[in-house]
Amino acid sequence: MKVWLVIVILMLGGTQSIATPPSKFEAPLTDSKQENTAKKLFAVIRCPECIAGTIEESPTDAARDLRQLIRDQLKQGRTADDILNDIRQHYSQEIVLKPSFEPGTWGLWLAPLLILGAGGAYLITRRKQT
Amino acid sequence: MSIELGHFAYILSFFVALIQAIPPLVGAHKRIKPWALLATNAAGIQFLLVAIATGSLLQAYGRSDFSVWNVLQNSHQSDPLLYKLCALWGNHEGSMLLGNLVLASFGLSISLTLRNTFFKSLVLSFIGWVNAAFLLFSILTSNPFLRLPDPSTLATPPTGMGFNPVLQDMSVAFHPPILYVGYLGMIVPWAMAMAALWEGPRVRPYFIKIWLKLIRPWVLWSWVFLTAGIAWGSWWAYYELGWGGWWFWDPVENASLIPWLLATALLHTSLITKTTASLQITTIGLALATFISSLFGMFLVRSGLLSSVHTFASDPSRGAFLLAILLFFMLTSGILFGARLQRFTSLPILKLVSREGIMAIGVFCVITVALTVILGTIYPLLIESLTGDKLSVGAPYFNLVCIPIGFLIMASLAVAPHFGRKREELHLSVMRLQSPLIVTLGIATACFWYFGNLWLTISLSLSIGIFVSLIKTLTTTGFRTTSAGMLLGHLGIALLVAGATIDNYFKEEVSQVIRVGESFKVGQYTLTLKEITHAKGPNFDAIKASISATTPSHREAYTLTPERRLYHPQETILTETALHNHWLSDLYVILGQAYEGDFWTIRTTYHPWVKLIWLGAGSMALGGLVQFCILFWQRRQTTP
Repeated sequence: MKVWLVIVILMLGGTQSIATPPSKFEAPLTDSKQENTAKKLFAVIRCPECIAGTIEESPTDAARDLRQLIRDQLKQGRTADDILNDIRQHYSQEIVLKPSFEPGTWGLWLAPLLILGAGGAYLITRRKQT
Repeated sequence: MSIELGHFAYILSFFVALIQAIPPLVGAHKRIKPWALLATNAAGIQFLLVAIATGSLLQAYGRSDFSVWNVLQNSHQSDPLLYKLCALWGNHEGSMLLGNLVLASFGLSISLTLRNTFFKSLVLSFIGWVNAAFLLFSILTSNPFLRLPDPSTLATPPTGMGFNPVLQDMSVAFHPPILYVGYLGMIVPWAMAMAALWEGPRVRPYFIKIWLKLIRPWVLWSWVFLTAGIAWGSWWAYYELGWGGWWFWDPVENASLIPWLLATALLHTSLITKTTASLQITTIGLALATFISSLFGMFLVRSGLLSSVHTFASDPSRGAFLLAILLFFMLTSGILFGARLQRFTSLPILKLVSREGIMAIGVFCVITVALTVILGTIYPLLIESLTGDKLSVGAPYFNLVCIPIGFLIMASLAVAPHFGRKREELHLSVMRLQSPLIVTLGIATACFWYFGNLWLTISLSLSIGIFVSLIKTLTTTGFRTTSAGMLLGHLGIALLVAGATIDNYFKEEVSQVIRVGESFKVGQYTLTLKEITHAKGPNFDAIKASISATTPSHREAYTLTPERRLYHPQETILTETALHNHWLSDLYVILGQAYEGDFWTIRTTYHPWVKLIWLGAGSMALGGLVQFCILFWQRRQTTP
């Protein structure tokens, strides 16, 4: 009896209710250009159920649903930017793992360049003071 | 009863740490020999006490003494003995105890290996300060020795709440101790830098040479462990988390990567300083910064500020305490560094066109990557506290910023060995670089023509470039034992980057929902789901899929058995990956969720040449170890 209970729990993935079988597998889009756009989006969107990681690699349902949503929207002819904006509005800015370049993130994007520049300047001054 | 003995030893060790910290500092400063010499004995006693404490907690875990809170919460009667013991460091309190043991062991090693001087007393004193701070933190906020108020009041005899199932794996069980030795080991170069700065006005000008010799084995030792620990962790993430990735730019991964990058920079600047006497301040600064960055990582992970796979449940008082510790050591190091900087202003001769000059460029790129990783990790916190906006910084940012700088680093390490030491006529090095450069550019052109992808081309040809450069070094100068570590280390970088690139661009991923008897294709493999069975382990129940894989060239089928496990008593579900090794490549199979009508999700990825990543990391760690052994051997030869 207990064994069957365990099997049922394992099959259902714990607390989730019985899911209807999805379409046989996650079909990549037939248009390879659209599929590439989809892959680019997958790589910057954070999996909403996970702690870190993108929906590209996450095995969770939430990630799968988002991947499906993005593919469907692309098939309808919407652009990547539109889709990203929609997702951002729905989940807040936190869903995107690559912050856009705006006043609040200037520091984030420009600091590495400044540090490289400062390092270079330091080495050059070391060289000149002979 | 023994747990009280451990508890007592733990508290006593805090007071011994104070004795190790304060009188020797005063003694060394005022040149009072007996006071200064206290440090050596205190360090020994300190280690003994923390070892007794660890032993007694370990015993409680081994015997499943559930009258101890920590044991009750983190282990279970039915766990295998090994996991019962490893559960000691699988939680916040116990891992702090392990951290204290590692710190104390470095104090002991210093007291046994260094000659008795005021410098040694200072080093031990600074280690004592850190020990005291962490012991106080552990005893006040994270004491693993607390007993249940009265276990007999529990209705049934307790069986324990169990050890986190994600960690129940041989490979991850020893990941924390290795990593701790790595990043806490950076305390020795830090303490030696602090001691050198403290002695500042007294030291003779050539002291820096002796100092460089003193820190080198310790930096190497920690670096080897840090490299091995990070690689080990990433291997675990690859096959245990079941995501198929091996690096996620998770905050805790970043927290270990930062000290690694800074230690790598330190290993190289210390060589530059040794040959040219330049960049002294940079070297001393890096020795300080590496350990401070370890403390910073510890604060990030344990304060609960960031969410990550690794964070332990924590309360705010711990975060505040850890922040206080971090700020205290950051400020004291910073102030001492600023005050004594003048003393170590280096002879500013560093020709950029020379081996050391090119190395310096590479090192500054490594430091830039380290700072970028720090910035990216704390930026969301900064923005949230300043403006209230929430944002995430993840893999896409780090890859975009760090990979191009990484290319610069690879280029500099490929060409640096072919430049002359100290100074160089440019045309001479160009002549030496001619043949490797032509070979590499030829391969790059072929690569670009064939694959048509710029990033792939740059990344692969830089890896090949490093390889060609190493061969050129071997053919021109012949094999020298002293450069064996360098060769292995740099070969490791080339292998790692090549593996990561090939896996990233050529992996094939297929996720299918199928019934028993059906098949699908991934790469050259045809996979068939043969059967689904039920299995039972010591502390879990499992559903096991039996999947056969065939290739056109190989008639016989391989059988893969991925599992879904339900761990008791936590009732957590984990997937157990099945791997089929094919030389350097992996066929990676995960059993996913089931659906009505006996449909099963099978996720499969073909990872071509993915093992190069860990082979590369292994080669780097081995390079460090070889270099460490060479130092050891040389020292034995020079001291009769």
